[in-house]
Amino acid sequence: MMKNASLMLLILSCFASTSAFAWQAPTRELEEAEEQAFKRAVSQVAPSLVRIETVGGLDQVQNFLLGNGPTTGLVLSADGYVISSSFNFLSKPASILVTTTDGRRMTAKVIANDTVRSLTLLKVEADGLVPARAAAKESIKVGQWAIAVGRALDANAPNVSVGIVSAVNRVWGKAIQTDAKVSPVNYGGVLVDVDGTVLGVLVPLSPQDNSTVAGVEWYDSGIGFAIPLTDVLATLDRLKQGKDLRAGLAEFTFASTDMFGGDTKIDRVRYDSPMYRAGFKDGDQILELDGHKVTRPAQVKHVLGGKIEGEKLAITIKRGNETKQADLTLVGELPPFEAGFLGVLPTREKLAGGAEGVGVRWVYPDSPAAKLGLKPRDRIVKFRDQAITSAAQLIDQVSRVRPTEKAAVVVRREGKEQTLEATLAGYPADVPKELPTSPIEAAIEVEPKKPDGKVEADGDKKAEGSDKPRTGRFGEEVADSKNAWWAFVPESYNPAYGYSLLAWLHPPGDTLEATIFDSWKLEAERRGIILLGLKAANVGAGWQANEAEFVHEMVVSFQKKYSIDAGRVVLHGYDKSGPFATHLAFKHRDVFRGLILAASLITERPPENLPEYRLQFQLICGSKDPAHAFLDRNANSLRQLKYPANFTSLPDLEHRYPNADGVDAMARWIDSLDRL
Amino acid sequence: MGDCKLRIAKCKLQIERQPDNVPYRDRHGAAATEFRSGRSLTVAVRLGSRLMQFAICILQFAICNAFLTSDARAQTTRDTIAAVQPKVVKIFGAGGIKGLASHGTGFLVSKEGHIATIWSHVLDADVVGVVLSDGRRFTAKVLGAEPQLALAVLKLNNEDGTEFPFFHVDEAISAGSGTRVLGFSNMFNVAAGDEPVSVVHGVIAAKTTIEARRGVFDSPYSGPVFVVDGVTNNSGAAGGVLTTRDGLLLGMIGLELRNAKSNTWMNYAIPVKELSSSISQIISGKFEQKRDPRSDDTEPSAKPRRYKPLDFGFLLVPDVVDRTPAFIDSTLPDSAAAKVGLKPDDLVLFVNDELIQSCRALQDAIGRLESGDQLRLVVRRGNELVNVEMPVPKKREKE
Amino acid sequence: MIARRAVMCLVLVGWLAASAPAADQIVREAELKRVEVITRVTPTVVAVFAKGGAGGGSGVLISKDGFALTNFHVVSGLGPFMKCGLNDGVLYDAVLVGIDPTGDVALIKLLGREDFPIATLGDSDKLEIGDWTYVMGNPFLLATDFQPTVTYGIVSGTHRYQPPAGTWLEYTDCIQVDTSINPGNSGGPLFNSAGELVGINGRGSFEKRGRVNSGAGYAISINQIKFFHDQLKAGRVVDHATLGATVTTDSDGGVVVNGILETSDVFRRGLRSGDELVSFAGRPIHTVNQYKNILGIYPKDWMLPIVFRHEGERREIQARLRGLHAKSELMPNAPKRPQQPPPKKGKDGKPEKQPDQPLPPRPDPQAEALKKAIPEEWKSWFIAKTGYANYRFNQLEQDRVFGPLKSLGDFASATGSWRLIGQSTTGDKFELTLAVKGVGLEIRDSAFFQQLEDSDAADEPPGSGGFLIAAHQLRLLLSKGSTAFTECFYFGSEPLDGRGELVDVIDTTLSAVETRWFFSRSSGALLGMDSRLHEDAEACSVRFDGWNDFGGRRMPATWQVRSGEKEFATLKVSTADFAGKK
Repeated sequence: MMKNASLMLLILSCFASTSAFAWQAPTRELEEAEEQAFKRAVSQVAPSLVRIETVGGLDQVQNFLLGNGPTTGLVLSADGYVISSSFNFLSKPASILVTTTDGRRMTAKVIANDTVRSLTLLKVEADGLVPARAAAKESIKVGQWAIAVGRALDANAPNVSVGIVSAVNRVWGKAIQTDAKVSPVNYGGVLVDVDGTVLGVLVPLSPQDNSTVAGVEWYDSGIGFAIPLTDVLATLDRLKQGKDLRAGLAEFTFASTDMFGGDTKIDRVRYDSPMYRAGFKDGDQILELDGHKVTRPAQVKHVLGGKIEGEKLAITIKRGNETKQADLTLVGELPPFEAGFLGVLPTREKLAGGAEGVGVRWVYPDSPAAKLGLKPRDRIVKFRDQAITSAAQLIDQVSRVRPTEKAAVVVRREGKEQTLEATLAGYPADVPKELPTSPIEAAIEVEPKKPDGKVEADGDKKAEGSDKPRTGRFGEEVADSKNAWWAFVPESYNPAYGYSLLAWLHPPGDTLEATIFDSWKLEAERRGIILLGLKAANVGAGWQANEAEFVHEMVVSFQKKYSIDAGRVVLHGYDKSGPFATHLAFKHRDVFRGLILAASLITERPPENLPEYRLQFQLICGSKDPAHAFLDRNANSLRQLKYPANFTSLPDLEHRYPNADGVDAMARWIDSLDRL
Repeated sequence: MGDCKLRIAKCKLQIERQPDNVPYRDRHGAAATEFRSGRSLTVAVRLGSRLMQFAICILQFAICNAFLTSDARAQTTRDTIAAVQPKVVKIFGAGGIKGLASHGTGFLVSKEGHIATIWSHVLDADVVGVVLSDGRRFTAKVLGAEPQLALAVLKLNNEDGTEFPFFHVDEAISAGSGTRVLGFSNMFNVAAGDEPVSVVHGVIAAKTTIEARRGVFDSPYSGPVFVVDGVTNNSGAAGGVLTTRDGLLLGMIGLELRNAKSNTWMNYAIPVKELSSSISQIISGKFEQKRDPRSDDTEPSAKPRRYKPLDFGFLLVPDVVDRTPAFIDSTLPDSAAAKVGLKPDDLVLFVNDELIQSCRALQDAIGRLESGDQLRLVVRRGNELVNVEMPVPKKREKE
Repeated sequence: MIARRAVMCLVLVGWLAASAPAADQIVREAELKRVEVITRVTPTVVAVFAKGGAGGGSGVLISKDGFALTNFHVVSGLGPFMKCGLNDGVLYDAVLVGIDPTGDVALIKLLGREDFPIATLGDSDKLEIGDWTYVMGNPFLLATDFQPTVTYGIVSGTHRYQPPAGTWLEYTDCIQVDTSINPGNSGGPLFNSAGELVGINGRGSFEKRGRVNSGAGYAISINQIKFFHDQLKAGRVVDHATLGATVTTDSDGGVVVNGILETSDVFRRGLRSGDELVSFAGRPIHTVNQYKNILGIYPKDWMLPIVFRHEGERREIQARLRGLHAKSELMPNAPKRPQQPPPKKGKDGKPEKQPDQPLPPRPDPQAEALKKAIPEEWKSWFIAKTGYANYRFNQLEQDRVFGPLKSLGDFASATGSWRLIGQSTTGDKFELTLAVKGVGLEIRDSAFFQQLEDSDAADEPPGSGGFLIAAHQLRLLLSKGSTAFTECFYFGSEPLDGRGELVDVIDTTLSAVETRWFFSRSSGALLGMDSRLHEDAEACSVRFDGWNDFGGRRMPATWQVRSGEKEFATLKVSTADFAGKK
């Protein structure tokens, strides 16, 4: 009998490697030499690092608690230019102090921000500072030593973390990636090679989000980023002029939302954008950018990711059999996107299957549609020469026409078609005073037909879980987090109908669960709204930034379980849960299409209104609420950004949750979110 | 087992009292281990496998000799790890409720079986279980503790005089930033069975000091620490060791702690140099516990009157937010402040070299002054930094 | 602008060259070597994307025709087709091949090339604590240009055990590293410092900070995956093994059996409650944990050597291992996605550590539509069948293994009675008759008969394990191939009789009779068969030696017949007559 041990060898040898562990473990001598090299590299760069302290300012930004400890900056010139991470100044401090290695302490001025790379340029009045040496970008190799150095932990010596270069050209071509530990204790500090030459400036970044706190949640996880110093130096002169660097915009969107699997066909060219002015059109396919062949949206983003306002972009497109080439100058700002409004609520008839056109459920008084004489039961069968097959498609088509522009509409009434010309308007600020409900038929016990539209939940998934979805009021503690939730699904739930989802974020302290349930139950049944009440992990302390995932996942799980119209998913915050609701709505615009803020202000700057994310606002509060005037102003600023924003003032109401009239108004608003 | 009388003083955590012959639950939540004095113990394990559901096994562990013999190949890190692991132990004790781990780490500091570890709730049991890197199991009792240093010393019940490999604590060294280190601990209780503890690598990021504080993340320890760039401080890791790549003892891994200044979780170790004399004293029985400065009875009963900015003749702007910058609102004519030239809108940045980030911080700093001190201020006026200095006036009696 | 930037770089580089302090030569060389290793293995790292690009994980190529390893939890829920990016910048279509839900492994095949770069497989048992390792993959979906993230760290623990999430995703004998592993690294490679593949990353200990690396990541050892490789490649849903016995530690520190299933192979081979385990699969057993670790890395149905002590006497046996799950549990309709690991409440009421999962996909209506659209070009690479991840690959393996059978001769036309005549090694004459309606054997003045119609299969001759039925299975196989059986699949490979060469295994079922056929991987020859009358019966093992030509048809010359530990007879065939037309 063969020895048992040889069995394993035998099996394993079927995959035998040729190199048979030819590698040698590092020797003592090497480890010692490497350690010395790390220390020497740090001492090389140390004179160029300054310690930054700030005085005064905010202690929270976007529900993100800011530390108040020292941070780090990098000297770029002997005469006092210092670059740092914009993260270090999120608190908008009253004063910034810089301490050099030789012990000099000076006040610093913010000269300008590079919003593309999340950097801030400071200036101190000093001379004889020691600027850092930059490594050539092309020489940086994945796998080489990368040492992160900051000056936050110890006033007298740099703090160090050793790793390797994990990747280059990360975050759309902007950054070097490292597994050295990068965190607030070295943001604004540097990543150096084993000679102490600077590879880049450490900043938090994320490819999915471009806010200043994006990527901070990955601190010390082995995922860190540095902006190549050569890139910083290349734009230093522009920053020195005191003007913030903004992303260079060409502005177009792709038909495919699949970054990797999709192609580069343009869905929309933004009005008045460089692309628009160069004569590019919806439907053009991008072939080359700056000489790089591109076949996927991700590749396009890689070319555009690091572009700054004013930079050039060489673009080649294909239209039919033609190719067209142009050199664009990218802009920093565009007129806000504004969708046209026809004045129609479409019927909710997803299961009709193959029906031609979209039915009119209701017509807004004084709207373009009213002027054309459209009535309920009319069907819109064509818009701008496009045959219409679903409400979602019609919404998309209407949004491509700007207010005051004209569009041809083909309407069918009692079997006859007529072509009309509509002059579109902007979205109205008000909610219709009376709005008939959309009929919800009683659930029938047959398997619902497969939904066809974008707006329906996934029928397959429901079929898999054979359990009938729960209705009525229920809730539970979520096992893998501390957050609790409750939900109310109308008893008459019919999976054949597309429901609205109202995600209510309980404010800290008093959770108002009974109030919300009582005041919304009837509207939920009447207007087909599923209520989802979510509580912060620490109900007393309220929502923390890292709980965004919980809310997002809960909403997504409900979307999977229930038949929910993706166009009517609404976040609702009140009082102190308002800022978190706002933060979430801005962060997950792909999920949330409406935001209701009751007695709470928008404290975060709204992102740009984009055609691919249809976000509408409902602000509501009592006339005696101290926030009343501010909220009205909020609504106006939103409208200036061309967001559909409605402000509802409730007479004689103090600072409290809206009364029955208010809930009625909010419910009507939710029920009209699919307006077009 | 009633011989363990010593309780850790002032442990504020509400721990369920464990009966004698402490059963503890392991991380599967399904096993209970009972330690007996001496070398053997009984473990009841419910095996996870479906076909083994019916099986309840009674395991009797005996000594199996070290399988971690040093490797003949000259491979540095492997050598060091092989040499260090026999000196690091896993500790099982109280906890298991309210999110508190019931496992920890410690290290041998004498051949008789003294173990240094972190002072934590895990030790708040009459007797704790200790598992060596080779799977040998012992019970141990707390011999002494120094809460101010977050230190406790245990003694293994070692009736037949087994000799253990150990660290010479008086030979602990110090090292600067950039020095390569290894962290040894039973973090996350990954080494739940008989295996040796987890090893992580890193460098010393910095040497800094931490201050004792209370609250959600209790740090009993004040003083210098090694901050590490590897993730050393996880649940169950406290009490583990930080060594150089040669295996020389540097520090004891501390409790999980958030750095308020950067709002990040810290990875750090307390230098053993700070602990070694207390460890030796506890072992030799000569130890006298220092008073915990934070305990309420050390607070003087009558609080002295504290200085205010007004005592120097200036007033601050109204303190409206958490971090209201310490701008001077006005100065009183002929006051000390006026004499040294302080002006309205000056922003106070430093008080005796301490950075002042808010009105509140300035009130605190001035409040701590003593009669006879000098008050040195650095203020920002425009873009200039201006230094002024004035004596602290004599303390007036209570008003 | 660009020109100016270039000038700036030149200036800086020039300055750098003038004043840089050179790190020691050995530091540079070691660094260079590391860069080389990374450059060499990076092309093998796969970024796995869900259709729609909204979620995903990592993988690693192990064969030139595109087979790649990843985690089960990465591919579950993606459907049979997915997209995979390589560092050549190309996005390939890929098809699911096989899955191991218990071990959290999946095999996929990238399509469209026959010359994919591949990773060299290492020996994960040689890893030691402190060894440097590389992790590569797509954490947080950062590889937007398909260039993997590379992280570098040390082995923190070896032979670790991480308990299952429910009944899936059990990490036995796994590797713990402090090399950064984050969500999205799942399924990607762990390389040793020589750049050999030693594990598949799949889990991490995440606690106070949510799902970002906290210094402890876990990889499934490549040695475990090697045992399952051929089964996965056969498009199967594979299962892990259990012994059918439970063990405990006795007062002397031995690992002893304290409960045993009487229907298990080990029981039939003489293992009893109270016996002490000495070694398993060639590895000595000292503790219960060790035993669990070792057992966990083996596939169901493998025959493995076990050494134990029964009443002081040392015994060595070969036993076939049972499955950890019931067959129905492994069907695709059973919990397909192992849910997010069951909210396992830890002792402290807090959830236990959760296996790392790819980022939750963004709900994207278009992605749903895409998922349904199977690329036309690759449609033929997927065949759905209950019990398989992708039956197409099992067909391919069956075709490969059955191929050489055709060269044995035309048995299909031999429709009458077959008679095999010869002598046993003990000198007894025998005559074996294989007829359509029954099988008979005359030997040592005894006659045995097994009716084939309207009759239960019996242990004839008694104690042989049902040799007559086994012989009939051979006739069926030779004359009708796989169509003769109600079920026939390629199992994968296993060491023959637990200690021999690695052989291909075909598994057939006809009524209750299950037969495992063993084929040489080098020559393709049929080496033997194990046929059992029903699931819990002792098998009749027949081993063949030498195939002789009998009038244009080749039959085994020597039949060694055994049941369990007992030898029945060794038959040497001298003449064979196939009655039917030649």
